[in-house]
Amino acid sequence: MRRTIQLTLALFILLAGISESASAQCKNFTKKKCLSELSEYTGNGQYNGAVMFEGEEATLVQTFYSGKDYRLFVCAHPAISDSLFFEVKDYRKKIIFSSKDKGSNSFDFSVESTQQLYIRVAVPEMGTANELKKNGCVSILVGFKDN
Amino acid sequence: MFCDLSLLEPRIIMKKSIIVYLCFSTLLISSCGGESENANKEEKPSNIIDTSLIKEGMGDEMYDRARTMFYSMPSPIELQTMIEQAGGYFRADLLHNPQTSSQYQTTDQQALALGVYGTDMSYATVFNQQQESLLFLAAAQRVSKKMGIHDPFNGDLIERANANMADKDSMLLIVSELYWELNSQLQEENRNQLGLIVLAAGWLEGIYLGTQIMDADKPEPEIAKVLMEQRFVAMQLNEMFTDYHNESFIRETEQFFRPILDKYLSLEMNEQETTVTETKGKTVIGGATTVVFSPEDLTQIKTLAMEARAKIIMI
Repeated sequence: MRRTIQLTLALFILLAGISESASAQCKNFTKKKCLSELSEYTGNGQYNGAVMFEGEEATLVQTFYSGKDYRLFVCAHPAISDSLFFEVKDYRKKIIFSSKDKGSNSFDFSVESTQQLYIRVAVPEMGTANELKKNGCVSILVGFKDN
Repeated sequence: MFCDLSLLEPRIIMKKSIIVYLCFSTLLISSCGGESENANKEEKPSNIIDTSLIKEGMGDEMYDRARTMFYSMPSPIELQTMIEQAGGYFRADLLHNPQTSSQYQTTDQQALALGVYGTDMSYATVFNQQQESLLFLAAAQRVSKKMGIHDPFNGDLIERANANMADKDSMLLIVSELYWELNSQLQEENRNQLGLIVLAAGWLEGIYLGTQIMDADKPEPEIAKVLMEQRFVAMQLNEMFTDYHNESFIRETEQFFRPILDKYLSLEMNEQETTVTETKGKTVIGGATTVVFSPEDLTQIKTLAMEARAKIIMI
């Protein structure tokens, strides 16, 4: 029993370490490869990044103010960037923008009145065996400037 | 900021890892408790994750990984630039005292103070008050370091701020970068709860400043509109507090914000159909929802912001 506990603890710590390391790598990836894509837009200071596996999706809810121009940029590691897509939806979940149609990983827009938008990012299944699922860092960046 | 919570902030999932964690964690708990239940009984199919079980057994880090909906706050800089555009102005007497930054002793006090100083720094920067910007940058640095947040200040940020203090655009970029570094470090270290407190305090300070510079007798319509549209952010904050409601640390701090959050949430919303148009090559999203408010609502928000702010800066 004692040996089991020790083994379990060791694995737990190892996995926690891997998770934290992945998080740090994701931050570095975002810093080096993504932030500059905001270009003339000022970043909103939020870090929205994590590792995603194929078959996963996540939605980010963000308030956008009227009177600003925004750039939404979804930055992904090359391992999953070809298949990844994102959608922008309004409060009724009606799709306003889909990167699938545009083939672009950024969306420049403004809002006439302040509102919440839903940004859904999805990495579709690529038919890879479970143990080989492709994965990579994904960051959602929001930049703004006065319009 | 500061968060993330980013607020706050996507902790996107690794379902396989969660299940592995779940198995090991259950095994560990079973072993410690001397019970012989098979850990595999707890395993779920990979597409169904019982988040309540994860939360109970594994704490917030793993719980975050099981979520698929995340909330991200606009930065204090955005709100302050909105207020500036709406006719706001700078009032140094409204700012918190940067000299008290070293007097906050508990982590929750420090997180609250960091949020306040961050917004004061943004406010000063947006209104091109260079000396004040630097004073609040230094105050934010002192509090951050007490909280173990060193990353944002490890590089040349302070030097760059000193060198570029006369250039507003450069200063805004530096402040934005500071927020990003703070946010990402808190997330990286799984301190999202602290991030939520920092965000909430920064948001409240922004409303406090906005309501104070507004003309009490004849509120400027544009400033009033910006302030009441904070209902959208209040909705996000409310969700974020709900997510962490099982944390006693969060519950205790949430009570400072609850009255103003509830007031915002009580405001009616007038929903309209969303429209999408292309104007000069740019996508414009129109319609959507507007916030309905009366002058009394505005007065109440001002009072609630002042009361809550007095509590969160208390030493």
